[in-house]
Parts: sequence; structure tokens; C-alpha cells
Amino acid sequence: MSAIYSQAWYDDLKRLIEGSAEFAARAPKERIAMALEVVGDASSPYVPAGQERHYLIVLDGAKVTTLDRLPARHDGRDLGFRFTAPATVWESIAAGLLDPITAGLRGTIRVRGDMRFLMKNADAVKILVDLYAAQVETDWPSGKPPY
Amino acid sequence: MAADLTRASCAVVLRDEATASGLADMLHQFLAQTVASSPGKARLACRLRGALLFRAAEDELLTVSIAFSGAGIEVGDAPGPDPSLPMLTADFLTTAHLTTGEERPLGLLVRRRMRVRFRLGQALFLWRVLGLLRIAPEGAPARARWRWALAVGLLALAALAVLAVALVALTTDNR
Repeated sequence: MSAIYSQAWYDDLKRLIEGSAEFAARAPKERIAMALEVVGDASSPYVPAGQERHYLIVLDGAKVTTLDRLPARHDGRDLGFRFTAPATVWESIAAGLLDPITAGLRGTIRVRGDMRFLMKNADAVKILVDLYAAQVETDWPSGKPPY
Repeated sequence: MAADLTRASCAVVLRDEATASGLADMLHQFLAQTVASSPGKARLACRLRGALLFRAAEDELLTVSIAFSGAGIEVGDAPGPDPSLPMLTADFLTTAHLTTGEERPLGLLVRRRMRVRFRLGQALFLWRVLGLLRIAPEGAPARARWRWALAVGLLALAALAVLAVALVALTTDNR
């Protein structure tokens, strides 16, 4: 079990993605880069209001070639998608309390990018968000949502 | 405030961008990218007149209106169902499968994965909107044109045959 937002947590997620036969069967053929933006809020004990965390995930087929924390917001170059949400939303998803698809439809997660690609690879997207939401065992050293 | 994502003649606008739901925002991006991706889609979008509602099956409080004015498309959150407008209800995966052609509308309706409410007079409009939303697979436009040409050719031949039979019958009767 690894702590939320730790490199070990993201390494676990990477292993889960690469170990998923279902994802391997549905993964897009194209290389795709995504930015995950965690916007601090008053409720999260991990990312306080006024702070942000930025991650870059690059998928090449079913392989996660990059899963790194960035020092600043990605400039958008060669970026396929940008997912932005408050920290509490990401944490609630990781805790299995919030469905990421519904969060995207409501606009709690803002999605920017090629929607046609998203539609063409919807099954892969669903598998990815399910892996993020339900299959990573997470340690919550400063408390678990709901806060 | 409204956002216009296209420079094409058929502009796609998101109403009340700052407060728009994710569904409205993503439909706006999808339509703008679709119209920008192909002159054929832009022409089709500009020929459409009317409005429809799209409701998320995951959260039925989320209803988005898509209005085609001929000059452009306006996407925005709707307060809820409007009996005068056709309405399509589907979840994210179903919508994706519909747009990619992985599933056919009739099959989705039969399996109750999609619900559609419309009046008979709105059927053609709804069908054309579904055609606009459809993402053509690689190389599909050429195949589609050939299919259309073949269908039109066969129809023309059938019409000629009917005309010929009618003329023959008329001539025989006159004798």
C-alpha cells in the first residue's frame, strides 16, 4: 500500500495499467500524452488551497512510458489531453467515492483535448479511470475522504 | 460569455462557458472539432435547422441543448426535458460507440442502452444530427460516396424501369 500522491502510488498505478490485459486489448495505437492537474482546495489535507500539483502521463500503446510529477503546469506542446480538478475530487475518486466519468460530465473534472480521439478510445478511457478509481490500494496518512 | 472554437463558416458556440457542465463543454469541443475536421460535416451542420436535447444517463439532471440555426451551432446546459424537442439519453460509452459506429442506433434502442424521444416530424432531423456526430473511420468518405452513388444509380434505374413499364402499359391500353 502506498501513500496518496507519492511516487510509489503512481508506480503502483503504472504497474496496474501495464498489467491490465483488458487495457492492452483496447489501448490506443497512437502515443498519447496527458496532463493531470490537481488544484489545491480548502478541504484537502494533501494539496492546500493556493497550491497545484502537475503530472504528465504518456501512454504508448499499452505501455506507460512516462508518469512524472512536473515542476510546473505543462505548456501544452504535444499534449493530447488536460484533466483539471480540485484535489478533493481526485482524492475522492482514488478513495472510490466518486465516479470519474460522472465527475467529467458534471464538469468537476475539466477535460480539454481531442474529443474525437476520446470517443474512439472510450473503452480504454473507461478501463483507465476504473483502474485509477478502484484498484489502487491507497494509504491516507493525513486522513481519507470524505473530509 | 460564449466560446467559439471554430474559424469555419459554421461556428460552434458554448453558451455560458464559465458555468457550463462538463457534458456541455465536451459536446461543444466534440462538435467544433467535428465541423473543423471536414468540409462535408461543416456543410451538413450549416444545413441543419432545429434543436435537440442530449441527456446523460449517468446523471439525468444533466441535459444539454444543441441548437442548429443554419449559421452555426449553440451548445448549452438546458434546465431539463422539453417536450417540444427531441431528446436522446445515453451513457458515455454508449454515446462513444454510437459516434464511432461501433453500435447502430437501432441496436442500442432495442437493448435499451439508449432512449430517444421525438415526434414523427423530427425523425429526419434527428437522423441527420446522428450522421453529423458520427466519426467516419479512416478511408470511409470515399467508400460512403461510392455507396451513395450506387444507391442513387440503382434508384434511378428502378425509376426508369417503372416509367418504361407504365409507358408500355399506357401504349397497350390506348391500342
